[in-house]
Amino acid sequence: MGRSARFVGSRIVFGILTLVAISAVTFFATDVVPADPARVALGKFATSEQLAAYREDRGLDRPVGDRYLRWVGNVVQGDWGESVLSKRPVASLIEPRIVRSLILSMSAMLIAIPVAFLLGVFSAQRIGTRSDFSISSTTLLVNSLPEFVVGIAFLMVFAVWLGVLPIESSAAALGSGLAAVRAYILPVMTLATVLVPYMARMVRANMRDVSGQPFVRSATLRGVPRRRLIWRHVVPNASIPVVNVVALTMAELIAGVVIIETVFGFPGIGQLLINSVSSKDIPVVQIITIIIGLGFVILNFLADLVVLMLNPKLRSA
Amino acid sequence: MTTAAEVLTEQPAPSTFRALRSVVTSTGEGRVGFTLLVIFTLIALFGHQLAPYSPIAIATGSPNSGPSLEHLLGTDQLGRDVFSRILAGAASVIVIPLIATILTFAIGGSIGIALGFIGGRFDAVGSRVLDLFLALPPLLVVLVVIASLGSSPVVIIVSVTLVYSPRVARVLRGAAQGIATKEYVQAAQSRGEHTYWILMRELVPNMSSTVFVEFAVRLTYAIIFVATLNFLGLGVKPPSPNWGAMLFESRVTIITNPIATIAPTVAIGLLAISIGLLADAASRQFGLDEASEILR
Repeated sequence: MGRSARFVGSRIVFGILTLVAISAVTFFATDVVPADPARVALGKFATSEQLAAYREDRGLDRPVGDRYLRWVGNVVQGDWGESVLSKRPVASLIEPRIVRSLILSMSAMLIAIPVAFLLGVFSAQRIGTRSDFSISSTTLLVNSLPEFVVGIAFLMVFAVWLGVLPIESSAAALGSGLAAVRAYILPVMTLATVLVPYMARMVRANMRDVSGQPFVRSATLRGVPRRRLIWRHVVPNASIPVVNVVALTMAELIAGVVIIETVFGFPGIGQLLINSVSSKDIPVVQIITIIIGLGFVILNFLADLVVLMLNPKLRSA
Repeated sequence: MTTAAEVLTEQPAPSTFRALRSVVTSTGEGRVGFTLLVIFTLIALFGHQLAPYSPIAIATGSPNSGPSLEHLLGTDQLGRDVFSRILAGAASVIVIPLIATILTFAIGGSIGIALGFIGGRFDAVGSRVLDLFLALPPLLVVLVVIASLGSSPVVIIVSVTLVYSPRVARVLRGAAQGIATKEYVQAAQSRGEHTYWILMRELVPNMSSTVFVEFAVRLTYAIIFVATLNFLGLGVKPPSPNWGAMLFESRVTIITNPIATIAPTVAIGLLAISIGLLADAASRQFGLDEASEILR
């Protein structure tokens, strides 16, 4: 078996294990619930017979391991159950929201990755200068701020003081045309802003490390023009760890989406998750966790494939 | 007779205290970060006594009034004094993450040091398990736990400890591994010293800089994490004052009464920045640089 095939195989196995871990944690954490799902569904005044009947109906009286496997089977087959709170099928609650969350997170990534890359390359070429210092300290400051602080700061400036953007993003669901587009601007801007600093700092650090390597000096001495040196010699060699960093940023992206949707009242899957956690609507929490976990695993896998393409050592058989 | 190996082991560990003092005094970042942190610590310790009003008393003035001499930062939608709530709310913002971080180091740190020190198959298997835990998105895990167990301080401390322990374990495992192969440890082992003393006299003192930086970084993330939970309405129950929870409540009045939102935002921002600056200055001082940033 080729080295690259083995690499891909091991990443797939790891991805599947991660999904199993996420689903197991989710199921077992929500299964030992003091908030009895039967009690939540039927309310305070249900009799014990009613509760028992509900439990039997939903298979809540079976052993835990049994129920986990059945539950995984149902989730895989698309049988996602219904919300305890609204009594609507979980799928119908999630479907319209997931598209909006995807648009939000993907546009933020599309903005953040190139901006971070350019900032990192720019400051790595000017290490020790004033522009490097100001970029470094700005990224450090933004990096230590919580997502919701950045979000509220933007909200203050653009929605309250300047009044150029809507203060609340519910128009993403109800509005049409321009109103809907405007509803996306602040959440996307905030998410991109919180994603940039960490990536930019890592790009800068990697660029700096690679610049000190002998092959760069040798290229400099051979008279390779500076621009070509940076983009053909340094950047490709500095990119591999950066892709790993982008993959690590995925966990932050997920947290960012959940938090920022709440800041702006953005009608996405993260807002639904928070509302469901508050109201202990377990079936909805379970499914959203699995969906986000799946997205996380897939994105990580894609990042691994990019690493494979960039790294000749892994590519050769 | 003194052997060369013994001479090596007798070398004092570099004084962490002195190194820390120079972090605080010699760098601009360290000075600013430390000063801010001292102020926040004082507020956390004495804020409750200093508050001019009771932080939970409603209608101390007309609701949503702007800053005035009676109410330095105005009042919120229930007429509670925002300044008093900021002063009294500092403790819960800092204490819960601090407990969680200490627990994280006790649990994750022991696991990491054991893996790095013992090595071999134990380390290989243990590291794989750590990798799996590291792959779980922290916020997701904590939300699931809160969904099932509710959001008491104990649940928050335990769940934050749960998601951060593997991260600390990973970092300290690396540090312990690096030291476990040094000559002075081998010398102590071949002298037949007890493992406990090797850990206490050789390993721990030489890891202190890594531990300090990692502790500062982890505490920053824990403070942000817990503040975020409060902001999401999943932390302390109203009416207890807490900066994150204040934001959660005052966000609806952001247009009519922006100060009630700005004050806690700035407070959380400055707190996070102060520890972030200290961590950065320390990692530079100890030559760890960006290494400590890799695991969030």
